[in-house]
Amino acid sequence: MATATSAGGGEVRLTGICRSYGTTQVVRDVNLNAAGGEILALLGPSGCGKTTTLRMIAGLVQPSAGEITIDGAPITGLPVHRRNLGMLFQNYALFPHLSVLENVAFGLAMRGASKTETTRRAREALALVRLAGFEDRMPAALSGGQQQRVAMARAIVYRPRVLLLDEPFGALDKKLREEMQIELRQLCNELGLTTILVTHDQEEALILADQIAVMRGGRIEQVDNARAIYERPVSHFVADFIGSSNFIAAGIVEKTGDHTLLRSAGGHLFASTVANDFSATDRVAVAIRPESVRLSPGEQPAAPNTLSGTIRRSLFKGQVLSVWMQNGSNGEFQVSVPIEEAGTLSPRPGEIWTARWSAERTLVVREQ
Amino acid sequence: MNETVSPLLKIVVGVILLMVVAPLVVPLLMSVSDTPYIVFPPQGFTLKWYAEVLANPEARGSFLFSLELAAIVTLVSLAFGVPCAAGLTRYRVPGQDAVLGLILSPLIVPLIVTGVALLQLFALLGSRATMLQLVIGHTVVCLPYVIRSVSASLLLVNRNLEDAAAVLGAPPHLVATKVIWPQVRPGILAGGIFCFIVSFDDYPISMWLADGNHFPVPLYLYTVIERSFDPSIAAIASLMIVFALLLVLVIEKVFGLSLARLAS
Repeated sequence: MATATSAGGGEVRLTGICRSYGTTQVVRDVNLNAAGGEILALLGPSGCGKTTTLRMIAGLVQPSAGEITIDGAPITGLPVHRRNLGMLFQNYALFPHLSVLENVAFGLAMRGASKTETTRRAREALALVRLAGFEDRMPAALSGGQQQRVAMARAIVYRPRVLLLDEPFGALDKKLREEMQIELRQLCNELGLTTILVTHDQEEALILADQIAVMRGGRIEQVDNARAIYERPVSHFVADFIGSSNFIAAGIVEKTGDHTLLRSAGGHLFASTVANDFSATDRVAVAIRPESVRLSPGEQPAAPNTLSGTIRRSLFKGQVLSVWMQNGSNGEFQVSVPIEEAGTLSPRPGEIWTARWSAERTLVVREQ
Repeated sequence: MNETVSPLLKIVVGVILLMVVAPLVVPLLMSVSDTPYIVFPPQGFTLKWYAEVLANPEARGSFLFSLELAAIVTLVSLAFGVPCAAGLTRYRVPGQDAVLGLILSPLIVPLIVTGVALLQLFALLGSRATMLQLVIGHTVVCLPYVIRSVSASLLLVNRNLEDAAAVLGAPPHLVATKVIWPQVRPGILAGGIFCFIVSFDDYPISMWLADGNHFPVPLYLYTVIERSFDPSIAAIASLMIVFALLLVLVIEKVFGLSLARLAS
């Protein structure tokens, strides 16, 4: 069944989408494109407009301006029930008065499928999410993971072109969540569904999505694949929200090709070989991931991409040892030391150590 | 649900139930007493009082009239109450709290006062339509029960389910019948039952508005008590109790299962 359904997901395009409630602008000029069969994550903190954007695609919220198309056909004027989308809700939204089979069959029944056809396909969908044998149970008698699977089966049984997910794993515990994420990814790929996922969990976005759109204050900060977002964040916000970073405000003093030389207010020099679009007049900062940094004992001679400081504290975090060091003009600086190196390298509070990182690991980001 | 209940809790609940049910048992016992007047404890056993009551055209007429009145009042109260509750809970209406307060006020004002007020109003209007007056009077008193229980069930409706149904392809009218209705049905049903029983039992409103041709059971019972004091009074009371119990049992049988299914 899986391969037969790969009729291909629809291409979803958002052009100049805005939404305001009264004078509050919740979504501002969002332009997005999810190619057929792609998994796109809308990632951002709560209140960034990601859920509103998703609900506008579903038709549950009307955009104040802009247009949404699927495969080129505008759907903005279409009522919710005629958009032929699948959606997974935060708390699954299973119908409590219907059995598992009836829940899954709901969408087919609404499409006027015959009784036998409906039952057959609902059973197939349940088998696909590994819930065969649960047909007659009531949703309340299922575990969280099982409810999630029923919701999944219900959303895909009528073969929608696009699947929308609104924080679908929020209610599950960590281990189950990871399992479900991997299962979902497989299922979406098998069915070739275009999937748009809303999440505030960066890890979830990294695991699931082909493309991530980072949102903030109703706007899109950056859209790219997971790796590019992580390795080349464009703004302070993105570098901070995806993974963590040390930030040092600096100005561009020289730029030739992909080589950028920056200087902080304290006179430190930073060299970057990561491509960026900034010029000397932009307000930028240097961002350094804690795991990009190497530590060595004692104070070293001043050089680009080198900072010395006093160790404040260190914290064992399982796979890494997190170390915070204080550098006079640049404030606190966080370093992650892989645990296998931490045995030989053990910075103690009060000692002076030097942090060093390579120019390929020096990110230049826009300051807000 | 499977938690073990402490014996103390069982005893307390038992005592409370006993206090609720015991007074109801008294007329049942007295109604079978083979004496020409009411005694307690009953002496002997006979069903002749029931036969007498059921054979009495006045008693039968009152009983049937009360049933008719309660049925009409229930329908009218639901017809007004359900849309009203829906409006008050699902939309922002100016003066919402004032409207709600006004509708619920018959629960606060003594019923006898409401009854007098209605009588004066109808007299002022020169109305002689007793049935209509009774229906209006009972509806005023019953509406709060309907609005209360329907509002409560509407507030508990999960809005996500409506969104889910719409996304799954349900047009608005099917969202209403397939998703909202199953959720509010218990509330509407409970409101209807309350309404029926309140109307069926009502004395203080009927007292002012009824006439000889429209004579509900509670009024009949009261006049019988004034006239005589034989166990037929207890028989009428028992019939009313049994009737109310049957009503609740039937509804529990018909709709109770779906409630249990929801709660499980």
